[in-house]
Amino acid sequence: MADRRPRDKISIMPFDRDYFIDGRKVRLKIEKGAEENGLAAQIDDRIFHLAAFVDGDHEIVMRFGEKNIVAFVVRQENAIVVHIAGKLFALESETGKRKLKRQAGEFNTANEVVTPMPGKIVKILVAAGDPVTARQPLVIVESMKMENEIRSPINGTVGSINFAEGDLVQPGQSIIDLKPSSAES
Amino acid sequence: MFSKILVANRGEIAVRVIRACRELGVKSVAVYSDIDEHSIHVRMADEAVRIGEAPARNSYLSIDAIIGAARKTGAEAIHPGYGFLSENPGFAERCEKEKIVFIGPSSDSMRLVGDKVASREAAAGAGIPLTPGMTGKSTDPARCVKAAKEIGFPVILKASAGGGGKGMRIIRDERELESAVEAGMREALSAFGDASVYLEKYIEKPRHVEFQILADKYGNAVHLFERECSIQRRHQKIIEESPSVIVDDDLRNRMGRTALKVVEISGYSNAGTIEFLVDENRNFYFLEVNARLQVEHPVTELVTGIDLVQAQLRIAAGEKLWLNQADLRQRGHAIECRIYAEDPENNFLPSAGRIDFMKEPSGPGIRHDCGVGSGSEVSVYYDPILSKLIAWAENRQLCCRKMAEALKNFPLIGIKTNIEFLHDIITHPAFTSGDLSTAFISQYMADWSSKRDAAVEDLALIAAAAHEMLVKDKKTIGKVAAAQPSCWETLGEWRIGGQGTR
Repeated sequence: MADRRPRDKISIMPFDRDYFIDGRKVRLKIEKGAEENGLAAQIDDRIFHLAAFVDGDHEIVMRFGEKNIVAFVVRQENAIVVHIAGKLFALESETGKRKLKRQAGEFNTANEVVTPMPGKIVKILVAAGDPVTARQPLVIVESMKMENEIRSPINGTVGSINFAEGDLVQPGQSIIDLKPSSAES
Repeated sequence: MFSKILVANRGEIAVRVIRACRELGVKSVAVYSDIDEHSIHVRMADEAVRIGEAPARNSYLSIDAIIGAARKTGAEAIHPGYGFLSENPGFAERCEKEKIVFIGPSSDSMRLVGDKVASREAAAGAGIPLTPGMTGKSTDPARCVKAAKEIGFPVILKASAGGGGKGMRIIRDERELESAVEAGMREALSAFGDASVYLEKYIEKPRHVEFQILADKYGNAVHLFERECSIQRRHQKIIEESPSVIVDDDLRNRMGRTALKVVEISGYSNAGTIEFLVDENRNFYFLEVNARLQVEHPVTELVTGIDLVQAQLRIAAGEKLWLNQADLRQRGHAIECRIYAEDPENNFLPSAGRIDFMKEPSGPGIRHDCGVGSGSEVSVYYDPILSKLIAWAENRQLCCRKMAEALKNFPLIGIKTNIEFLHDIITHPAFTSGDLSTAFISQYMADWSSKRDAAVEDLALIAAAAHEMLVKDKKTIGKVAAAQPSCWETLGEWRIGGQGTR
C-alpha cells in the first residue's frame, strides 16, 4: 500500500473497437458513465449501463442494477476470450478474414489442412483436384495411438497435397492446401 | 508399509498416488520426461527423476529407465497408475526379478487376465456368462472375415492386447468388414505391439457396468459394488457413476458374486475391475478384467468411503484384507466427468497448447483430481485427459444438478476442452432420466455444437470491453500480471461498496 500511486495516474482508457465474434463484426465501445462507478457499454447501437470491477487478472464482476454477473477474461495475442455462464466466447481483433472460432488453440485456417498434433499420416482420403465439403474427412493422422480424422474446414477443392502416407507430421504443418469455393473466399 | 515408492506415471493420476503416499507417510518419487519437468506431479513428489525424452516410448514406457530411477532413489515399490506400463506383464515381471514390489497383481495373473482371449476361455470354463464370439485370436484377416460371418452381424472387433478402446471397431455388414479388420490390426500393432484381434457379437445399446474389487495376497477378496460407464465417445468412457440405475439389489448380488469368481479363478490380487455388458433385459456378460487402478475409481471411493489408492499400497505391502463384504455399503450417488483437452465440435480431436487460465470448481461434494493448472502446457504426446471432476450427493438427481453447476463454473481458457459438452450431457433429459447406453453420444449428442445465446453473448462482449478498460496494461497476460502489483490499485475508483481509499 505504501507505493500506492496517485489516483490521477490510474488510466481508465475509453475503448472503441471493432471485433469479430463467430465471424460477425460488432462495434464495441465502453466509457465512463454519468453515475459514479458507472460504465456505459455500447454494442453496435445498443447501450448498457453497469458497474464493474476486476479481481485478480482475469475475474471481472459486473453489476447491472442489482443483477450480478461474473466472467473470466483472458487476452490472447489476437483475441479476447471470455468465460461466462459455462460458455466461451472469443472476440477476434484480426481483420476477420479468418472464420473465427470460439476458443484459441485452433490451427485450421481456411485454406489449409493442418494437424494439431504430431503423428503419422495413415491415410490420405482425397487427391489433388477433388471437390470437398466442410467437415469431410480428408486425412487420417495417428497420434496418441488413436487414428484421428482431420476434416475439411471449408467447401472447396483440393490444391496440393504436401505429404504422403507414412510421413511424420508436426503440429502446425500444412498437410493439404485447399482452394475455397468462390462464395467462401 | 513401504518407506518410499516410485510413481511411474504423470498427470492427474500421479498427483493422486503421491497424495495417498503423503497421507500414509510414504516418501514418493516422481519420474518425468523432458517436457514434464515443470509439471505438477513433479513438484508434489519428494524426489523426481528424469527418465527421457517426450515420446512415451523413450520415457514413461521405458522399463529400463523406470527401474533405473527406482534403483537410484531406493524406492521399494512402483505404482504404475493407469495406461503406460500399468498392464504390461513384462514390466510387472521385471519388478519381481529386481525385488521391487509392483503395486498391482502378479505378472502371471496379469498375463492371464490381460489376454482377452485366454481370460474368456478361463471364464467360460468357470461358467461365467459371455457374449458369443470367435474362438482364439488372429492376425489373419481372412479368418476374421470368416468368423464374423459365423457369429452374425453386428460384430465388434477388439485388439487382443488392447484397452482404452484402441483398435476397437463395430462392424455392421460385410462390406465394411475387410477395411475395418485391417485398420483395427494397424491400430492394435502400433498401440500394443501386437496386431492380434478377435471378434465378438455386438450387443445393441448395451450398458457398461463394472465391479471394483480388492483382493489381498492371501485369497481374500471383496467387491466395492458397481460403476456404470455407459457414456463413451470413441469407445472411451467420459462419464461414470455409482450406483447404476439399471442395477437392483438382486442383480448387484449376482454380478458381485460373478466378479469375485473371476478374481478367484485368475488368482488376482490388489485393486482391479471386472467389466460387464448389461443388455436391455438385464442379462449381463463378462467382458474383461482391468488389472489396474481405473481412471474412474473416485466414484467408488465417494460412495463406499474407501480410499482405493491407500488400499492398493496396504495390500501390496502385504497387509491382510481388513474389509468384510457384509460391512460394505453404497451411500448416496457419485458421478465423474473426465475433462479432456479435445474438441467435441470436431470429432473429439485432441487439442494442445497453454492453459492461459483455469479456476477449479469447488464446494461441498465436489472433488477435482487434476494434474494441470493455469500456465500448464498441454502436450500432444500423451493421453489428452486433464482432470476428473467428481460430485457426490444424496441421490442421483441432486448429484446431476451439483455436477451441472460445477461444470458451468469451471473456466478453462487457452485450449479446447469437453467441459461444455459434458454439461450438456449431464443436463440432457435422457441422461437425467437414466436412459443410458454406450450409444448415448451417437444417439443424442451427434453433431453437437455449443449453443449460442444472444443475451449471454452481449454480456461476454461487455465483460471483454470492461476488462480491457480496467486492466490497464495493454500487453499480453504475462506482462499484465507482472505490471500489476495489486488488483485494488487497478481498481481505483471503480471499487464497489467502498471509498477509493482505505
